[in-house]
Amino acid sequence: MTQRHLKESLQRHINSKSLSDTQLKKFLDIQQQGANKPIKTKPVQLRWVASFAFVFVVLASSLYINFNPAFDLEDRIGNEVAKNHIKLRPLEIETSSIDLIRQYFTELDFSPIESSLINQARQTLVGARYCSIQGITAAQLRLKDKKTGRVQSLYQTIYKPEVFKNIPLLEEGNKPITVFSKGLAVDIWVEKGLLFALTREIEKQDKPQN
Amino acid sequence: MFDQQTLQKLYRYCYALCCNEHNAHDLLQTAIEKFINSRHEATNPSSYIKRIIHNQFIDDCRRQNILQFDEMEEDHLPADFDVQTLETMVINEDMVEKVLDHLQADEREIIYFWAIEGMSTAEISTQLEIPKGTILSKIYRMRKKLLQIFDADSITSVEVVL
Repeated sequence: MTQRHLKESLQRHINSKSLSDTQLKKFLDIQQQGANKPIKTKPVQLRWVASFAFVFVVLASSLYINFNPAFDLEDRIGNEVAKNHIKLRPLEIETSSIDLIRQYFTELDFSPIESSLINQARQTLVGARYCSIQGITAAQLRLKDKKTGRVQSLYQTIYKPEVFKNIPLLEEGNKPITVFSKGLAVDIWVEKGLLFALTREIEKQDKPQN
Repeated sequence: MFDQQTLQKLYRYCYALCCNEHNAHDLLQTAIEKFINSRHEATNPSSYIKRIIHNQFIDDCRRQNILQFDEMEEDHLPADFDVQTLETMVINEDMVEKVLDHLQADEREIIYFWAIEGMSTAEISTQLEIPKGTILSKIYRMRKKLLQIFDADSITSVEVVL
């Protein structure tokens, strides 16, 4: 087999793809017909009004979400975590060993741990990747249910009381707070100096918290 | 008007995104029609139609629920990492299609600008309107992924020549 540099191989492969003469003629004809059409211009003022309206809506939404008490920190964390979980981005390390995961995350200000709330008999670790929660660098661990094969994301980041206010501390006997976002439940708690967020499917006994 | 040579280049860009000749043809046709209808006074028509192709491709993916584009995030890169790192990769030529199949559309797009258009990281960043660090991050992950995949399959076709 011929070995080539990746760049040269890609050039040879992609440059071998070309439009047929018929296809070329069709595209040239489309352009020619288009060139003969009269130009329609939108009124400039309308474009400005639309742009201002768009900016206003975006700003208003942002302010509403950030300053409305209804959108608490836990809601924002829940939204961010659920959104990222749904994307299931590729893992950077695939392993069931928490030790290997600890070794992998050299850029964190903390060492990922196994939470006491994770049922290790039922859930197995499959890997991890870097991520962030509310702009703070975090570890995203992926868990798999041994029975059902369902996947969960467990986020861990360093607990900063000034940022993560009102998040329940497990050591004080509190239970995790649950928020619902994008059809998922996200349990959030603080344990051993780390903030955790765990995605899971919504269960019958889950009730929205006020 | 785009001449034959430019049309072929645009078609190859579409192919790099779609990884499928039929879809590439359809994408190019839609983009040309949009370009004509927009009547945009572009200072760089070639660059402008590439933006149309890029946006149209994302729209098509969303419509078909093919989520091939990740939101780009910056990574923790080695300090000396650059797009030139890809230059050191060697591959068995008949594995090219397999490599392309393993890449996501946004990765193929970057690789197209690098390999076919000969763009630097900064130029790719300008073309895609994405920070340079994010492009490097993508390349870093892409390279790592390729090396992992091919190792995992016990295929030694991709290797780094030091």
